[in-house]
Amino acid sequence: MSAAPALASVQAPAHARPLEGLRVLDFSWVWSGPLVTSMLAEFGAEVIKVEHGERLDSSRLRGRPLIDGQPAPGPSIEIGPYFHQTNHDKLGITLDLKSPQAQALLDHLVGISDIVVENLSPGALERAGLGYQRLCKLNPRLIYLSLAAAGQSGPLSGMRAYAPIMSSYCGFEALIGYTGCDPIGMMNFGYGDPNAAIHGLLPLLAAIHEVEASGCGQHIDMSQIEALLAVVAEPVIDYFMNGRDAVPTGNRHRQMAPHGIYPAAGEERWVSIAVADNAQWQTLIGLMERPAWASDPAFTDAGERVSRWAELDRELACWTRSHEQAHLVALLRAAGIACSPVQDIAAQWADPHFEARGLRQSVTHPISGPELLYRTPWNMEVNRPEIRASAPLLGQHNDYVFKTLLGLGDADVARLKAAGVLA
Amino acid sequence: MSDSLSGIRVVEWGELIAAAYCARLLGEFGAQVDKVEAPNGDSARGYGPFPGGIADPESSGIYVFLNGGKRSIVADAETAAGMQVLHGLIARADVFVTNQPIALRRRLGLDAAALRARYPGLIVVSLSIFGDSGPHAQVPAQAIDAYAASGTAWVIGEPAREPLIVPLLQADYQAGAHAAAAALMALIARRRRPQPGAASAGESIDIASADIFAAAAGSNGMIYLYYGLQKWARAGRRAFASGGPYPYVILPCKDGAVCLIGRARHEWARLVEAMGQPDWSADPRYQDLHAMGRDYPDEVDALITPWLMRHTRAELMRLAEQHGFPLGPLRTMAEVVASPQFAQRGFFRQVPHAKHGAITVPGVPWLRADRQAPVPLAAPRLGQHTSEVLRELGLACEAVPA
Repeated sequence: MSAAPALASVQAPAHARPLEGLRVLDFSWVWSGPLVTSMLAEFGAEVIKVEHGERLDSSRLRGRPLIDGQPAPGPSIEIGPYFHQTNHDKLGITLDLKSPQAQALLDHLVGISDIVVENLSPGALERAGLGYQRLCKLNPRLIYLSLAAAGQSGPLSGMRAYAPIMSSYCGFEALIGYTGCDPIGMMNFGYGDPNAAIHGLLPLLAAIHEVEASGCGQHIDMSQIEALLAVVAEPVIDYFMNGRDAVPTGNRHRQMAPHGIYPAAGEERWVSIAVADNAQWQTLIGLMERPAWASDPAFTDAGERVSRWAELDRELACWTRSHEQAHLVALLRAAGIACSPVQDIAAQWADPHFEARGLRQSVTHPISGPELLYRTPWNMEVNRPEIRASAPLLGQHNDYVFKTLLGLGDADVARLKAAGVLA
Repeated sequence: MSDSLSGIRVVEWGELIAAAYCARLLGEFGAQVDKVEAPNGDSARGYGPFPGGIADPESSGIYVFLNGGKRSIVADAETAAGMQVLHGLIARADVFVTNQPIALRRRLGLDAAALRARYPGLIVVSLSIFGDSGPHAQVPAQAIDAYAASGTAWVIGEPAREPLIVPLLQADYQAGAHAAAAALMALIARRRRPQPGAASAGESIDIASADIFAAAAGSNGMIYLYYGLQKWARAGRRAFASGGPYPYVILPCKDGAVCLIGRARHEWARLVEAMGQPDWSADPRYQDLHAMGRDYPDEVDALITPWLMRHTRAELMRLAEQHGFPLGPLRTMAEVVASPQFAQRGFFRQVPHAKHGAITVPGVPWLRADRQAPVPLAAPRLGQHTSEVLRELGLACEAVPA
């Protein structure tokens, strides 16, 4: 086998995307890790997603989607919109990490790659001979990002976790609920995964910036639970400072009142309203035509409004309920007060604002056809994130990776396929 | 060892969280951050929490958390002298980060287009709720608007009550983290394809919290296409229709509540095993996890809850570990900060403080094996570095308002 050269030392051409020429070996699955590597791919990195027929990314196993009420055609592991979203622009290979014959291929791949991303249980890749300590000897420039629920060390490091379990563990889930009620959490919104992805991407990008100058790679040990605590800082600080244990506070704000979500006329129509200061409060009561309850002079003070939020919310809801959603939004915004319609996902899709910002891009999948996917939500003038290719079919790029990159012949590939190593 | 961003200069001109978190993250990798504050100070100085609840602009917990290691320079952008300081700083900066309102930035000539025309090599990062372009770019907005417009609030809360937001200004923190990553990407681009002049090294980055939450909620929402569900709605303490197979729910136990999630058949089998294989678990009605999750999850909750109520969270965690099913206790902050996990990894930082000795704040969620943990640096007093920086810029001290 002849080794292809490592790409990192090759400077990208002037017009290239920022990560062009960098190769990523992606052992991650589900959402957090694949989201990191899909962002790398949008900036030009070549991401090789490693799967195996016996160990599919569980995002392939969601079942057959129904599009417009009809079961979508094609093999169900290939046609999932969720898999397509998190794995676009990647190359897909199948390789059995547990097979002794895979080791040499993997070592070769590591030698010609720049980055490894993984979100498996700590120790899983070490057991497959793919731990950082071994790989950095094969490739000292290698940047190796591990995203585990609690990190690679500590008593919790063996923890199995989905996003809401992590946000339960760090105290955040218990802070979601209506004031005075038991916590209900935000089970629909797996905040822990995208938050972990962006907090994993940060040290990874810093390491890429560094390796270009130093030539030295590094191992980054990211804890997804700590990533949540890093942004849920306020109650953590308050506890250390004042021994105060936070409780759910609904839609309230520490300094603004009214601040919340209020009903508009009709079924399931809601608006958000945030009154930022005393001047806005005066404007708002003017719009409401100065009802008697709002004329209480105590309400001219923001602090007083914040402490009497319940009364304020009740009365304001009586007013909002008698107006159409679109009317409220237009009226308050024109008066300089923050007010938005509470949209479901379909309304978000139809919102011309996100469309104008190019938040979703179209790509054509070989089986599913044209589809719209969210790109990395950064509007950049020069180095734009861009979705160019759909998610890989299982093993779609085996020939490119094993033959073109690793130099195997047809007979080698056929033998490895027959042995179940590439399957 | 010099750090990843050694020699990179960041100028921050913002209020409260978003720009400050962005600049702080860049500072974590070794960038030097100069923070420009108006004469009355960053509003984070008034946000708290405060030791003993006593307001003090030098002791605000959020300010200390977000600004350790930065230099504070007082300059009033509404005055010519203040603008001279800002331009002096920007002229030598690699990155300029701001979350000031777009109307103010444009009026003062500090918007991305004006700055890039004057400083072609500058990386300009702006953070806001709806962004600097698009139909909503000019509307008044707060963090809550990002959850409302993005589809996030729609799916949090009880079905019969008003939707709930993600609390604690997460829209601002997400904007800060994404902005820092985008700035790093622009720095990588500059380093990996050096140009003869600085002309094309610059970048304009426009980060909108609403975009970030729309992408997250929308990606998650794609799961709902799988089950023929015509809508995605809030379902109280449960993911809507369990998000597929049962369970995906918060349930009460003996000393609080636990979050119970199973996505695979074997995870359910292990939970049932931990419960001692109750008779009902063999009933055909409780074999199809998708039907259980979608059609009668309350009924299954009622079968499990009596067992949960006999156990504490700690006992349930042990059972979850022993049998291998995913379960997490809902924990209080008192329990979180006492966890040996975070102590062992050195996650919390004691930031030195002149008046209170130290203020403890979260650190960063990553360890880099080849280098020492950073020494926590104090947050600056308002204007602490004004005269130092003016000297560097060759400006007279009188240029600065008192």
